[in-house]
Amino acid sequence: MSTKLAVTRRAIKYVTLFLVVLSLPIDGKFYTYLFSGNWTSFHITDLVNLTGYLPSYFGELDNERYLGLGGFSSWLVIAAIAAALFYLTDRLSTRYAWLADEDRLYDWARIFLRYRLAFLLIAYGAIKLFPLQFPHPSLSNLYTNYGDFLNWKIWYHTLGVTPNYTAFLGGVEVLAGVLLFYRRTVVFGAGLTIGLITNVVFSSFSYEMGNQVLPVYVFLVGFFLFAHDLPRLYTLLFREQATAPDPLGSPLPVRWQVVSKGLSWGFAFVIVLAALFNYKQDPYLTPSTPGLAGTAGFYNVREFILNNDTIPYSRTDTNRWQNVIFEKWATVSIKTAKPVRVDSSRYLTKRLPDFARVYESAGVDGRRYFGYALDTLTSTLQLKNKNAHHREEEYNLTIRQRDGNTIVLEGWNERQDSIKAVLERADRKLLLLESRRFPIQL
Amino acid sequence: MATNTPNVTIAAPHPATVWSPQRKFILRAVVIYVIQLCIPLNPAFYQRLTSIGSDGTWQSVSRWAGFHLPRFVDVGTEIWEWYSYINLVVALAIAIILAAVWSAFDRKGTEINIKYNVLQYWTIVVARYTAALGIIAWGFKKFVPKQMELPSRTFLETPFGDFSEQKIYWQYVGISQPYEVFLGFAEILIGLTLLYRRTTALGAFLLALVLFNVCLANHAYDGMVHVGSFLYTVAGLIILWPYTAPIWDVFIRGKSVTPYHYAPAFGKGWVRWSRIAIKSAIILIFVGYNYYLHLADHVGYRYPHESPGLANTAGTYEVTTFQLNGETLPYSPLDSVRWQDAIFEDWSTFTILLNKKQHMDNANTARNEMQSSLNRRFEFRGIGGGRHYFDYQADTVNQLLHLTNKNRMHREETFVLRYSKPGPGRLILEGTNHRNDSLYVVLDKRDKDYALKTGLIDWYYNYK
Repeated sequence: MSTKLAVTRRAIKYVTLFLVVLSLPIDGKFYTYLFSGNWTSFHITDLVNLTGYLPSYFGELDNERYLGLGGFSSWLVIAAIAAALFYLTDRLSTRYAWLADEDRLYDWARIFLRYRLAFLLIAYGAIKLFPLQFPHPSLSNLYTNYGDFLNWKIWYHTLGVTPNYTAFLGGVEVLAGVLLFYRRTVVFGAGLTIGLITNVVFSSFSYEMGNQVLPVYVFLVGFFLFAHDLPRLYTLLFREQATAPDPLGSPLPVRWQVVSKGLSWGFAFVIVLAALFNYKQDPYLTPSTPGLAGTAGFYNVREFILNNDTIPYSRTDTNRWQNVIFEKWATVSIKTAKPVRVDSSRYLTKRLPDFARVYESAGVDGRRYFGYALDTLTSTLQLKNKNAHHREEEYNLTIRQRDGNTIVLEGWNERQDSIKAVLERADRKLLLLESRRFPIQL
Repeated sequence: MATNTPNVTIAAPHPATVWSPQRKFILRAVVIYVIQLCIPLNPAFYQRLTSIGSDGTWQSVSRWAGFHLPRFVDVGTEIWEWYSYINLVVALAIAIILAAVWSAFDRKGTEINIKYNVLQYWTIVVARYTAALGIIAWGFKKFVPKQMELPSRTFLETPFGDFSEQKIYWQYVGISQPYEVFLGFAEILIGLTLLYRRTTALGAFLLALVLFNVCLANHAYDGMVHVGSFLYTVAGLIILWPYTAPIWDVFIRGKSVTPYHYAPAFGKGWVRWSRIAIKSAIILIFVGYNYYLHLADHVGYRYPHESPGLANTAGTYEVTTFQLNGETLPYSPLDSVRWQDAIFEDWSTFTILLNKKQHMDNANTARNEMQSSLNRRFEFRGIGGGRHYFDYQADTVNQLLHLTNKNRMHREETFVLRYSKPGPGRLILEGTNHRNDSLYVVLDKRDKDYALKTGLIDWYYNYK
C-alpha cells in the first residue's frame, strides 16, 4: 500500500468517525427532549426536530446570540470524541481484530449516514411541500416597510409569497432523500443534496438565518456520500477511461434491506401526510384561534382619544395609533411612532400555544403585535403584546362593530390610561395580492 | 462437423459509434435545433459584430454572448404564460420536420460510422460555447454586483405587500451583495467548466440543474427571463447527451464501461496553433476583457447613479408643514394632496407619499435601462402604495428644483420649487405645481436605524 493511499485511508476513517459521532444524539438535552414530550399526541414538529437533531453542549440553540461561527463550538467536542475513538480503535485492534477492519466501519457508517440524511431531507422537504416552514406573510407583515425586517425575515417572506415554487424545492428535497434509499441511486441523491444545500449554506450566512449548523452538516454528509463515487466519476467523465461499477456490497442481510426500505418509505409517507394534515388543521407557525368574525383587514384610525384628549393624525406622536390590522387569527397589530425593540428570536419548529407563536412578530420592526382573547358576553378584548421586550403592554378594550367597516374600541391600557379609537376599514390594495398583468390603479 | 474458425477476437464496435436510424434522426434534429438557437440568422448581427467592445461598455461585449432564439412569432416584451415558449416549439417542429426529410434520403439503416460522432462533437461544441459565454456574461453582472442593487431609500420605506413579485425576488438578492457575488461566481464557474472538454459533463449537469431552477423561479416571481433560462437548461441536456449512456451503465446498471467520445486531433502545426489562438481570443474577450469592463463600470444600472442628486440632501424627511395656496393642511393619511413624507435619493429622484391612486407601470422589462434619469424606471415599476416618483433638474445657482413625474402616464405632473436650508436637517420647498397652485413645505430629516442589516447598506449611505 502506498503511503499516499494509507494517509487517505486514515483521513477517511477519521472523517467517518467524526460524521457518525456528530449524527448520534450523545448529549443530555436530546433525552430530556425525548422524555419531556407528550407522546400520546405526537406532532409533526417532533418528527422534524428528531430528523434534524444535532448534539450541542454550549447552548447554540439559543440562536439569538450565536449567529456566526459560534454555533459550531460543539463540533470541537465532537472532533475530540472522534479523535479519541480513532486512537482507541487503533490501539485495541491488536487485541480485537474486527476493530482493524476500516472498510467495515466505512460500509456501516455509509448506511447509517444515508438513512440519517434521507430522513432529514424528507422531513424538511415535507414542510415545504405544504407551506409550513415558509408561510405566506401575514397581513401585518405585508403592511410593514421593507427596511423594517431583519434579513432572515426577508428571506423567509421571499419564499413565502410563492408557495408553488417552495413546494417544488421541497419536492426536490424529498426526491433527493428517496434516492438515498437505494445504493445505485445514492450518487444522484447526494449530488442533488449538494446542489440544493450549497445555496442554503451561503444563504444562511448571508441572511443571518440563525441556524447555519444544520445546512453545513447536511452539506458535509452529502459530500461524504457523494465522494464515494468521485473516483468513478473522475475516471469516467474527466479521464474518459475504462470505469468499473461499484460492487455495491452491503453488510446488511437481504431481509434487513427489504425491511429498512419498507420502513423508510413508510416514514416518507407518514411525514408527508403529517405535513398535509398539519397544514390543513393547524399550521404550526400561525396562531390557530380564529380572529373575531368579519374583522380581518387594514383599518385607518380615524379618531383617537387618550385620557379624554383627542389626538389628531400624526406620524410622530408616540401615543397616537396610526392604523390597526386585524389578522384572520386572534392577533391585532397597531402602528404607532413609539420605537419597537425588535424580537430577534428566529423561527421555532415547535408546537407552541398561540401566544408563543411569534413568527408573525419576530424579526420585524414597525408595528406592535398583540394576541387577544375575546369575552363574547361583554364584547371585551384582552390584548397582550407578543414581543418579549414589550410584554408589559396590555389593553382591555370593549369592541363595537358597525356596518362591517367601522370598529370602535374603548377601554384602558396597562397604565390605566383611557383609550378610545374609531377604526375605519381603509380602501387600500396591495399589488402583491392583485394581478400586475392587467392595467391597475394603486 | 468441425469448422476451422480462426481464433481471432473481433473487437465489437463501441456503442457510441453505432448509429441506428432513430439515433441518426435524433442527431439530425439536435443539429438543426442547435443551429437555430446558437447561430444568428440575422445578417445585421454580423455587421454589428465588427463593433464588439468598441464603445468600451460591458454591454458591448455581453450583448454578443448567449443564445439567439429566432422570433418566428412576436410574443412582445411582456410575456408570462406557456405561450411565451412558442418560438422554442416552432424551432423544435422545424428541427423535427427537416430531420425527417434528411432521414428520408438515408437508406443505409444502422451504420457504424464515425462521421456522425464528428457531427455530434461539433454540434455540441457550438452549444457549449454559446451556453458558456452566455452564462459567463450573465454571471459577471452578479459577480461584480449590478444586476441586483442595494435598495433605494424609498424601497426601504415601502411596505412589503406593495411590491410585485419580481421586485421582491430581485431585492432579496440585492440586500445581500456577498450572496449575489456567490451566485455570479457559481454561474461563471459553470461557464468555465463548459469551455474545457474534460469538465464539460460536470458543467452541463450543473447548467441544466441550476438554470432549470432559475427558470422556475422566474415563473414563480414573474421575473421574465424564464425562456432565456430554459434555453440554457435545454443546452445543458443536449451537452450532457453523450455522457448519459456511460453514466447510466456504470451507476444504474452496474456495468463496466470504456467511454468513447470523439475528439478531433489538433496535434500538429497550424491547426493546433489556430485552435489555441481562437480559444484564447474568445476567453480573453469574453472573460478577461469583459471582467475588466465590468470592474470599470461597477456601479449598478437600475438606478440613475450617473445623475447625482442635490448635494448633502439625500435622506428621508417628515413633512412638518404643508401649505397649499396659503392654507395649511394638517397631516392625514387620507388626504390626496398633502404629502405624508418625502425622500431625496442619492441620485436625482424625489419621492413623496400621498393617498392618491396612479396608473401603475408594472412592466419589468430590462430594455432601454440605460436611458436618461427621467426614463430610468426600475425604481418605481411594479411598486404600488401611493408613492409618487419625480425626477428633478437642480438649478443650484437660483436654488430651484424642476420636478417631473417619472410615471409616463402622469408626466403632466410637475413642480418648480425653490429650496432653502435654514438649519441642519431642515429643508424648505416653495413654489408651484403644474396647476399653478402655490406650495410651501417644511421638511425635517428623520434619522432611522433600519432593522434590515445592513453592514453594506449603512456603509453605502454613510461613507460613500
